Amino acid sequence: MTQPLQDHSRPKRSPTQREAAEVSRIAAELAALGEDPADDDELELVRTAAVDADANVRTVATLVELSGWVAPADGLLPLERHRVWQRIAKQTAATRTTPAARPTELEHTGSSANGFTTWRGVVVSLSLVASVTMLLRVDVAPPPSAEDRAALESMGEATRAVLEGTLPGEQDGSRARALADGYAERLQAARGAER
Amino acid sequence: MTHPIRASLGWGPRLALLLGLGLGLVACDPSDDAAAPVARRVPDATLRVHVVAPSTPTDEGLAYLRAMADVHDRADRARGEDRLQTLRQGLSLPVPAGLAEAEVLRLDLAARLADELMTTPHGAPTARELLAPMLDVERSLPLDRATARALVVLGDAAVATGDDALAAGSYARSIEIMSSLRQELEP
Repeated sequence: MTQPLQDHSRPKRSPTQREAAEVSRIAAELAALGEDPADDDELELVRTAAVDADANVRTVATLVELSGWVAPADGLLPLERHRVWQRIAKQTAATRTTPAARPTELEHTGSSANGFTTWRGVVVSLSLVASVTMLLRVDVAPPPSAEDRAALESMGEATRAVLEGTLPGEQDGSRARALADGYAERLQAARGAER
Repeated sequence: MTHPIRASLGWGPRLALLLGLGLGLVACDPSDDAAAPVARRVPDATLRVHVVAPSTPTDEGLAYLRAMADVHDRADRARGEDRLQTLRQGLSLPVPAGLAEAEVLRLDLAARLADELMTTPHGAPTARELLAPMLDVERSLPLDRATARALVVLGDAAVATGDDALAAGSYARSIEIMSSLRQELEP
């Protein structure tokens, strides 16, 4: 049922001077390696390759050949086509991590995946909004109640009481005067030592 | 014989517990009151201290210390706005270079001025503006009673202006200063 690709190849033509030189070079290399000389098919292949050296030309030629290729499945019975699908599914499973499926099943899976992605985006967005809201609540927390404020004021009074109770300092002027007097004594001592 | 300082050591743990509860209240209270003048923040009780070492005595240093003592004496004799003006003039006296003792005296004078301001109408914000930069958590403060006193006054000014986080943090820092000073005084 398959048709040979050679049916769609280009018709033969006479070799150019450059192609003849290429064939001579290959023949010389084969002779140097002790290989058999190239037959007509191989020489035709070399000639074709030399002509289609340009990548664009080779691509276009391949596409033309493929477009004219008759699919072998046309001659298959329904049971054989089913087996071909199964074989393709197995090959797909071997090359991908996701389970293989027929075209209709793939469509269904694709829509589910898109739905999951959408919901996942919604969930992530809501989580982000909730996080920002919580952060704002922590940074700009509401003020304390009147009871808490009263407790804070009493703490201030208690702290001041501890200050006066545990570290009874001199009155403002007395502290400064005491510091000045001690400083003056040290200054006198330093001057006495210099003499 | 019980040392007078050690006789009142029981205040420390109890006050520390109170302050801990207060810090927790200020940080976590979920009540709503949109009329508060200042947005609440988390109390910052960061404390950096240094010991004030006696500086090399100079004539300029001695003149400054005596001038500061005179400021307090004149403030004792003055009343009202005259007292405030006298204390402000004391803070504006130029500090001689290398006079480490001046830091403590300036804190004491600022605390006294802030205390006086708190007794005047609308004086609390001014007191807070005066003390807050001098006692900023980023600054190293002298390990001295003057620092503990100034922190208490700053806490009072913060309470009066509605900044509970600053108040709780200032009280906590004052307690820590006092605790450190007590440890130094213990034999």
